Amino acid sequence: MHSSNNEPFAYRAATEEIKPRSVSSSNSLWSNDDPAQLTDKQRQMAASAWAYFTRTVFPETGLPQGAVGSDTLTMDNVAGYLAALTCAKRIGVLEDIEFHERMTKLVTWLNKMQLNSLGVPNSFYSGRTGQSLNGISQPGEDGHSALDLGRLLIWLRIVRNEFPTHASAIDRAVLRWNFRKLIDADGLLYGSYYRDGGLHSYREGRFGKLQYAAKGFALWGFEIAASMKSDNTSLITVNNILLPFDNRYSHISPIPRPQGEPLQIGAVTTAEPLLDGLEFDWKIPVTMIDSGTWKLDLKSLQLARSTYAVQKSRYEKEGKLTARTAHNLDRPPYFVIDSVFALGDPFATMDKSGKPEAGQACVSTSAAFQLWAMFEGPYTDLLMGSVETLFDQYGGWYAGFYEDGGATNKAISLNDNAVILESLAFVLKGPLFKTNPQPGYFELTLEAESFGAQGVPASKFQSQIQPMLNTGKAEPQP
Amino acid sequence: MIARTLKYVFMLSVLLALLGASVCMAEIKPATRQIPRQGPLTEREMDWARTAWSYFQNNVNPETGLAGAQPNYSPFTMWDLGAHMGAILSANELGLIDDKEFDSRMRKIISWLNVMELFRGDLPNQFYSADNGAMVDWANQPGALGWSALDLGRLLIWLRIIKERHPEYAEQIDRALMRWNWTKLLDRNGTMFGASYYQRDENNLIRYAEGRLGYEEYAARGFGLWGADTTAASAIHPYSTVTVYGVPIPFDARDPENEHAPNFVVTENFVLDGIEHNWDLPENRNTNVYRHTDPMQAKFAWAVYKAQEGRFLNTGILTAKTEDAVDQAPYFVYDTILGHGIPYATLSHEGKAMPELACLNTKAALGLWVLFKSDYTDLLAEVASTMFEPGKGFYVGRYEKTGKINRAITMNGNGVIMEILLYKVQGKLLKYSNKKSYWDKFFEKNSLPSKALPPWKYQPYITIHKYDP
Repeated sequence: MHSSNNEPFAYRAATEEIKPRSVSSSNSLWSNDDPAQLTDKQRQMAASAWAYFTRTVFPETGLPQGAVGSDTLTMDNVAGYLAALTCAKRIGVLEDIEFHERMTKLVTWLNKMQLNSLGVPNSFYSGRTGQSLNGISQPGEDGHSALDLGRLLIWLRIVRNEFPTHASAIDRAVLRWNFRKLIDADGLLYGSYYRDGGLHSYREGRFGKLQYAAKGFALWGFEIAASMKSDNTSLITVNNILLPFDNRYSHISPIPRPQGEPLQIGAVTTAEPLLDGLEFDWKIPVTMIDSGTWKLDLKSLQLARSTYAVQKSRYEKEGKLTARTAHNLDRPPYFVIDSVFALGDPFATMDKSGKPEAGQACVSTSAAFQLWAMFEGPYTDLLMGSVETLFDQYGGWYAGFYEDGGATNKAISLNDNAVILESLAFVLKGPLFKTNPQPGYFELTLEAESFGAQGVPASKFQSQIQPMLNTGKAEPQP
Repeated sequence: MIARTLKYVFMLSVLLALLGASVCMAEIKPATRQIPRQGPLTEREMDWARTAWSYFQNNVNPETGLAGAQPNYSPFTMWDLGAHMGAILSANELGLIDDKEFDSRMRKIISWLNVMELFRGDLPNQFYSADNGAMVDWANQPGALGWSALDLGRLLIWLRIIKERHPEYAEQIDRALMRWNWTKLLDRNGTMFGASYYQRDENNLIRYAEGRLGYEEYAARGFGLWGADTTAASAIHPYSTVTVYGVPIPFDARDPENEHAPNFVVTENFVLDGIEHNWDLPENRNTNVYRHTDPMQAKFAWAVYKAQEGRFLNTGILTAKTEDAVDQAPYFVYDTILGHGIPYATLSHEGKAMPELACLNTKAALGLWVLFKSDYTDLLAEVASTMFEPGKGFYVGRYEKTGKINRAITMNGNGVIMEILLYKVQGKLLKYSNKKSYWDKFFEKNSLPSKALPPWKYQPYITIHKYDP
């Protein structure tokens, strides 16, 4: 067999075996009262991440800050808070009483929060007042993100399955939403943006993020087949490793695009494919009729493997430690998408509008934790070694350190800390989603009643929900 | 009869042995073999480490992560920065600070190295200010002065030690060095060059071969560690010796070409070479503290030690000399074992004799103590370990003439003492991880010809001109 490094066709599919880390218990035939435990150091890490939430939650509303120093909160952040509460409790760094107190406040807010004019949770809320905000942080509305809501649905379902105390209140909160504005007959997702005094819908979600968010809808009974199809993907080779990515065209200036419509970059980053693994073990949460089990989501699994393999290969080839995901910054522009691959470039870094920001590339703390939890090996040991001291003494992990210069990126965000808690809870107890076949308020209500205007129950109404845009579904939307 | 005689002989010998032992208690026996001290620190030695570390607790600017060369004096050199990094590593390894504090201190320095302003965009300036990390002169005024190859050599050594022990910083360290313009540092023969403005005239930058026997070989180790050819700098020739108290002291036989290359014989460079490199050649993986792959340096260090021990045994003056700060004008002296041909001379920078400023130097005393286990160094450590200000750090030393304390406190001195204590615990400080770093991987395929990087590729073509306006 002959091959050479410079051979352009010597690419290969990423075959890295998933080797999740997990702590072993000393459970044996003779002593079965000794459950698996994190090491003291790992518990300390979890405590540092949890400390973010003791530091940033407003007592008046029970809502956290999206990042230290910012009142703005997205639905993705709320999902992160739910995840943090659940995982901190599972790890044992959060007491029962405090857990329920916090959860009650949060769920109460979800039941009374102002929905936007489409009847779904708005993009932004103020953590301080609980009010929905428009694009310039004044009370008002700004649209919504189906991707954020998908992640929220996942975590609402996990909490609901695990804690009967909060189940019916969570179900009520979900029953308030108008699903007709979120998902269509085939299972594609729709977000909205604000323009000219009203909200406009658009097809939202690119490969990776779309599949992950759609799984949240599936958990509540929706048909998501079209989202799982991922027919808009191609493969590119980075360091001779095949990496799948969303090949739909992104509008880049100078091509004009309607103002206010969010740009969908479709970057390949660490967060989503690995969250899918941490939470679902890459399964599609739709019960197969014939076997009664969940099917493996091979595309997402391949994405996760390749994402890891490509980042590792960058270290092996160039000596650059790599753990990339979208993250906050402690300096302008304050947020960047730090990708494995985006807009045609491997390891591109850009702001939300696609403008290159190469100097802001970081080794992300949360991405390092995710990779460390899912792929045991010397590379992830080294990654963990490089970030394990990057936490703030007042609580919370820093976003990471800059690739250029190695200075700490001292931004502290809710998402990073939530993901770190998820990674540690995964190491402790395996995949985070726990099923509960017991029908709850949501199912029992929908047996007797239906909410046609909101599109639930899905089994009855989803087939009637029409796409809100009059363009063909297979066409990419900006 | 024979048995009886034997019995007497036996009793006599027992008596003599007892007598001999009691005499020995009081007498300082000259060392005959080079035995380093190795082992865990005693409680007393941990106190020394805490004392030395207190300098860094008090004097690091929390904003920049940098510290000045002395308390209330913000400028520092790259030599001092090497000592600073050494102190942080030692404090962590000795258990004085946890990993988090280590990381926050180290990361600030390394990220500063990636953004620091370079002299003419080429190389680190001679001085930077701990207040803001900007280039300054010795009076902490903004100013570009030139660079010192010796200081950079020591910094290169410490960057390599940190990188080998903590691969998570490797990429950033490598990037910082790729900023430097190596065409100005080493010529094709492997001679190291420093530079200064002549009389501070910006149109008159003079470049000079820097370093003489001792310091030159020590700094060359640093360049060698990063792949440079240092043939000329590492060669000990030309050298000669002057015999004092029966010990041949080696010195650089070149005429002092200018004030930038004084050929004084002092202790510090030999000590540093011993504790950091075990007198081994660059890239040599030997960790046996009794074996040296550069045995000439070990022999020179031994001679420098024996010359000082010899002075004590012959005159009763406790001697541990090296260049260091003093708490009065001219604030810095070369306290030598051999300077301008005079044994134990104390000289100012201009070569003026200042015998009243001769000191027993703390860092030199402890350096000799750790590398050469003997009665004499026990005594040195006894004295040196009392010369500190609680919570502030070790003093530079004690005046030989008056016995008064030299109350200067320096970052370099305290950093070196931390290193010395770490050497006692761990032996040779440069431990190789055998990992390829960003530097190795980058230069497999790329090169930076305008900076003469990698040096092994470009150095054969470099000619350095002495004057460079």
